[in-house]
Amino acid sequence: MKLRVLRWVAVVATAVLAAQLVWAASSKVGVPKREALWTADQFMSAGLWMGLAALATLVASVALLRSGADSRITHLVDVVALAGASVAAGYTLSCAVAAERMNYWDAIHFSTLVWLGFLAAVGATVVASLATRRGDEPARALGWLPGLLTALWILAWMLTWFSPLTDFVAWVAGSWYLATHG
Amino acid sequence: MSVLLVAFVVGAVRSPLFPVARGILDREPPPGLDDEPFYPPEDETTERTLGFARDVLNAHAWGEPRPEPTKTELDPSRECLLSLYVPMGRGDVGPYVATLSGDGMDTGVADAVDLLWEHLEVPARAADKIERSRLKLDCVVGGERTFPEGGGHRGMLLDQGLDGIVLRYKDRERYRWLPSWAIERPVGRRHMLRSARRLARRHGGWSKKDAKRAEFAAFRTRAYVESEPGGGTIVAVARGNVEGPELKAENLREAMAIAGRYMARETNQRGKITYHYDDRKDSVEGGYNLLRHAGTVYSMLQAYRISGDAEVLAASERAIGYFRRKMKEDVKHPGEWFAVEGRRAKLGAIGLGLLMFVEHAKVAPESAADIELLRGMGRHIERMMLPSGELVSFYNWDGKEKSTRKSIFYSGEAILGLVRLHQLTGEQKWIDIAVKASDFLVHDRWVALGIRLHVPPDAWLLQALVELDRVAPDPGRADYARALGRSIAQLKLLDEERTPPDLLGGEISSLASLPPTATAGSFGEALSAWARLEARRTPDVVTAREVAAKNARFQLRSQLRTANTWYLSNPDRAHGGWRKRMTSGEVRNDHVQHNLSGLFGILALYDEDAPDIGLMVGGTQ
Repeated sequence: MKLRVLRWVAVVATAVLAAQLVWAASSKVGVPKREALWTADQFMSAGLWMGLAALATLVASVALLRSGADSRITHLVDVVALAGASVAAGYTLSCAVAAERMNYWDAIHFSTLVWLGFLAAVGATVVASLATRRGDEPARALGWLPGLLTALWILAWMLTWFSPLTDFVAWVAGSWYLATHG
Repeated sequence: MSVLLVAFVVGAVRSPLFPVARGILDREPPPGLDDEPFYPPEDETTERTLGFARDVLNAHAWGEPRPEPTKTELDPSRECLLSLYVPMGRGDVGPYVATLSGDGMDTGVADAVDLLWEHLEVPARAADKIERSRLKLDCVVGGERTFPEGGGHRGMLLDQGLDGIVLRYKDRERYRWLPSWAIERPVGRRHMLRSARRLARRHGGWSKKDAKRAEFAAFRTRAYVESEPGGGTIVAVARGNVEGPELKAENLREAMAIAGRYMARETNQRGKITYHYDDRKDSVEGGYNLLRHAGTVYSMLQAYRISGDAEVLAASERAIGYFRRKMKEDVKHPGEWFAVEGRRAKLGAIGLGLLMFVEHAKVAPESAADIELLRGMGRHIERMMLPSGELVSFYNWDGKEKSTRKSIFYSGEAILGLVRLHQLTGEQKWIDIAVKASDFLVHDRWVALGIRLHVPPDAWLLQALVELDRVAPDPGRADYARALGRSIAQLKLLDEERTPPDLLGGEISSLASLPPTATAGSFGEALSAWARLEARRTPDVVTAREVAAKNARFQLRSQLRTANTWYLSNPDRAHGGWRKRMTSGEVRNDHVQHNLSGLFGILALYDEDAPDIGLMVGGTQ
């Protein structure tokens, strides 16, 4: 019972903190002349709190799955909450890059979001995988989402160092441009 | 699951990618032009036709009898349009356009010139104006192509400078909006049809209703223009430009010389350099930037090293005086100097200021600034360095600086400034500071928690690393310099097979834009530095050299010269400059600076006698 309560608290906290991060990324990052922008440290702090909640969700969810509790309980919300945390980190990262926060943030701020996004996606994949093995149909139906997110994070990471991939992306961008200009 | 799939498909269809992908499928090659070369081939008939048109026009201007038509030469089945551009200043240049027609085409040419003359405003008929005028001939080729209102998604079914628009309505004479006008005016690709309708009303006498209801289609022309005011040979026109000079030493030198003269002309008596000249409106726009001022003077002095033009040196020295008046000695740290614009003291201004002063010392040591001032600038950069090696972008000299901005480029500018200071003084101290600051950028900036996030296209840092490599070689820094070069190369259109010849070496841009010419300059500085590093370290490899060469060719093609400024109201003023892109009128001093310095950088690879960009000043080698 305690574990179920703890799990729900963690899931709600993860969802709320992810929503807060998305809200801040939408309204508090790099809007010109807008006062009360969040600093890079504030974003990192919010991200870390979300990461802590996501970790609690992961631990509680896995513990519940391993405890042999009622198999009719679906773990869909756990997967959605962790995937949501991953998307929130990716969205914040995108907003920060789009707003040219490279001129204000340090590498640690960006890297923290990258790791948070990746680990939340991996966590969601783990929960979805364990739940699917226990016959959790809703979690199985959504099992592709954390897998896709994890793959996207790995792809994004490879874009930072794997030159054949960056060359390919450059080739696609060039081809796209040439296809739209005579 | 199925709901999510439907949502995904709906999202994809509604996303911007879908209309662009559909537009790509809808783009068709112009009918009947499969073998048409991009630049129209040499054409003696057109040359004679334009020559005859020029004779008729001059006869009008000088009040002489009209020359007799000789014989029919142009194919009467082809529709041709003769355009006359008369630069009158204030953005007024025409063009006046007349259609060539008639059984005897030369009669048609003379009649067309008569028509142009009749419609010329009286002041434009003055002989001195006609001597500065240009004639252009467009002959329609291939078939017509239909397109939807607005040219499809963001106008992507139309190509600026290549597509003209023909309007037809009932028994009205058809109206042709010529291809080059999209560049000349300029007009965005999705506004081309609207511009055609507006000009049909203004110049074709169409009613608003008729222009709106008219059928429209795209067409192409072979176009040629007189290469010089008042005549000259003819040159082929494509996308509102002409084919640029070949990439060889004398052309590079000439391009730098005219760019230097552009900037000398734009330097006033107080030493301030025009920041933003709009070549379409022939007007000076607002704004100034001290950092770019210093960079501009640095490149003017490079131009002087090439041309020896005394006016360029004199203008540079006036501009150095302007910068010098903006400098302050640090009251808290006597003997340290920074530059203030408004209230701001930018690190980049001191970095580029050092480049400027050192370049001046290289070309005119007798009038160079006091070496102690330059050392004071170096000491200021040292003070801006944190223990980690990170350089702070803004100096809080008056206690009012609140910005936490970390400029991507200031650090590279400051490091290059220090390397150049070492070239002047030979003092190891400046190299030591430069190495520490570089190592932070190479190993720590954008690296955290095991991830290297980004290799920014930092042209200044690449130049600094390449020059640093000569005095403090280090494999890690050299590798990073190559990575910077590759990150820039990935932004470029380099495939000769697939890229239109005029875009080769340009930068991949947005759907609505042609490649920028401004960044071709800064990337030219970087790529030529990368190529010099490659030539020094791996002489058998030419990867960087080839990329730099294509970029430099793009730079040469986009420089404003006599041949490609037929449509400007004051082409003499714009001569030698570079604008932001071909479809922009914005000629900013830093656009010219970067392009000039980029060409200076690549000259070393094409000319053994070229000045050494990293020259150690006498006695310090």
